[in-house]
Amino acid sequence: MNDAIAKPMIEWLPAYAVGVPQIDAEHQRLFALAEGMHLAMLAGQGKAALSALLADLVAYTCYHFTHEEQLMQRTGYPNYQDHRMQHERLRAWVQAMQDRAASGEITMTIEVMQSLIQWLKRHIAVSDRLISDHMKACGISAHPRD
Amino acid sequence: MRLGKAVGIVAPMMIQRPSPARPGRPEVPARESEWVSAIQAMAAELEDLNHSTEKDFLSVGGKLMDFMSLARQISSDMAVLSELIAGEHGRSASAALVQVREDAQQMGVRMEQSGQALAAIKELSGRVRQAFSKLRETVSIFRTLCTLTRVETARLSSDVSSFSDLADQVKPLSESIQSSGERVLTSSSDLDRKVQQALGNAADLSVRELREVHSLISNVVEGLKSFEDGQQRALEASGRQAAQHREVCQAIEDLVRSIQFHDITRQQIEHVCQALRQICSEVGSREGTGSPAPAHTRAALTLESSQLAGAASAFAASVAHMEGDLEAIAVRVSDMAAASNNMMGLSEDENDSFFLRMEGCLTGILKALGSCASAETALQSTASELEETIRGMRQAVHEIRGVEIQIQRTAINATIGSAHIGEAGSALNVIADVMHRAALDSNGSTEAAAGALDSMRDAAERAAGGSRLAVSGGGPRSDDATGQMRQVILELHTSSERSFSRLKQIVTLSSQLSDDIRSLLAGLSVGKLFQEVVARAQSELKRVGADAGPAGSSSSELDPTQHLQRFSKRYTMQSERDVHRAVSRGEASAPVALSAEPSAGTGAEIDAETSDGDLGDNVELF
Repeated sequence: MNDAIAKPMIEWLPAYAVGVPQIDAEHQRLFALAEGMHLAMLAGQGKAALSALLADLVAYTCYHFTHEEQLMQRTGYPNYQDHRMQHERLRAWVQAMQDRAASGEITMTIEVMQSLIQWLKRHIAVSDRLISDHMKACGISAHPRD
Repeated sequence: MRLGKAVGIVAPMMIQRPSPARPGRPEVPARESEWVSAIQAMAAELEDLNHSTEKDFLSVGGKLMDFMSLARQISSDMAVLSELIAGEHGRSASAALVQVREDAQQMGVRMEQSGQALAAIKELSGRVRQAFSKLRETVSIFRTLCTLTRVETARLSSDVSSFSDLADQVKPLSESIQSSGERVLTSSSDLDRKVQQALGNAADLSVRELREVHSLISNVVEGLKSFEDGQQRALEASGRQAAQHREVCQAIEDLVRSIQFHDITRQQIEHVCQALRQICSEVGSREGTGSPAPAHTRAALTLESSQLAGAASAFAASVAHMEGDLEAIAVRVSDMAAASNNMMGLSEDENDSFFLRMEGCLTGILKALGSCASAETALQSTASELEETIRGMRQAVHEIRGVEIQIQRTAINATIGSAHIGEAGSALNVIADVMHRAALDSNGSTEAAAGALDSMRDAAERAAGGSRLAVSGGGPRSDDATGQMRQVILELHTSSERSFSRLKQIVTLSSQLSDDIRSLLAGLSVGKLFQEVVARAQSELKRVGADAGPAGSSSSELDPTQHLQRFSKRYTMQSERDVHRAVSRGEASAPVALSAEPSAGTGAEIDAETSDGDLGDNVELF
């Protein structure tokens, strides 16, 4: 039986673009992380991949959220506080997951994946696009950091 | 991509036939009639339409091949999922979970036995203390007897000098009894404390961990029932979905075939163009620049218009059929996605999905197993300490027993000695007798304590001992059993995460397929374009035909009847469509049903041709 995956299940789409290349590249990185985890779970290797995923997520939430928050501040995004709170919640969640993993708990891949997919669906595909809409509405051209 | 490539897997497919009869655009006279120009323009537009629709249909065919590939991947995923939840893997997972439940129950029994043993030790410890409760009193008696011995030996002076050392012998012995007895009592108190603590731990464990384990195991057993229900549902659902999938694949293949019919329609349009150009070439060149079309062309133009109408009707029906089929496929695939979602409880509230609940249960079991294993280890450690303490107590009791024997022996000697003295030694005889009885009493208590300590030792072994007993019985060690249970739970979780990911993939792919089909449908405008162009062409033909000159003014060499016969021999498209349909249905030798339209003479010719196995000029079978 051919079990090959012809197309990524978790795939960044141009429709999710915020319009800032660096932010978009970082979003694509998160989709790639989730896809990698999905493939590992399909192969029954989810637990082995978990700690690396969580470490990547901790790093991701550190640099990506900083970039996004700087962009929101620079463009005067009106929902900045609400958006930042969403970031805080994910930071706290990732940290909690990592703590649980560090304590030896490894049977949480489904919970991690479920939450990650929800984040991709609700935050990147919806909340982050509002930033893009705001920038377009204000005629703002973002200048991403190098 | 050519449709021929796109539909490569479909057996009866059309290959663009070479068109020897299609000469390309005929030479147009330097100064042609208006009607000739109009017909040439119309033919050009019809040819453009042919190219455009062919391109659109090739694109649709390519998409359908993509859909087919996606549908096959979904089917493959469904098979893997079914195997995971309902196949051999699922059955072994169920059996493993049952084994975990039994192992956990055994662990509970072991811990309960340890708790009972500890309680027994505590009770026995009380008996030891009770046995030694008069120890100080006994020692005090011995001390008093020693004092009395000294007083009496002093009174008797040198006559009984042999008694002078009696007090010296008994005093250290009584001190020894006191010392050992105090040690036993101290150890007993220490043991009591440890037992109390161990019992507290065990009781706490019983209340908290064991109950939690049982509760979690109950949850998992419930989950197991759900899992089995899920397996059954999955079997039924996968059976239904397999049937649905076959229908989807069949529907897509039917669609590909219906697109192939377009090839015949396209040829029909080509033939019309060819015939119109032939009319222009043969008739238009003989007419003057400003002349209308000759009268005898009216019938031919009407025939061409009729051919166009037939093609338009066939094309419209084909497009409507294709749209209906695509919509039906989209609905079916969407239903499959929903069914997959519901199959394993992936509801709208995904935080409460079957998989998350199972993962929570499995995590809880692992935690509880870890706690139980730790508690069991602590219990064994406590039991080992108790064994050590009891060993020390038994040693002290052994020493007391030795001292008591010595005192008894001394007392017997004193009794014998006092008898030798006679009447004067009667007081000493009394003292020796009392000492002997005191030693006997003390020994009685000591033996009671020793008996209790023997029982305590056995109980301590039992407390330490589910695992030791299991080892002696050839069963798995406690830590091994816990390790095995942990391994089984981890394997169950791996199976669960694979099913979760597989199902997510099926749902995503199904939704994607449904969306893609609807997107294709939304962008399908080829039917409308075809109708518009054909309607324009028919209108133009009607206009040119209406403007045609009066009968008899033509210089044509052929009369209308000859023209019709000549043209009608070319128009066998409906017959060819019928033949193609019959062949597509696997009726290669099906008789050709002729349209009533062609003349009887033409039909007879075609009948004669097909009876020889020739299916017509315009159909090629592969």
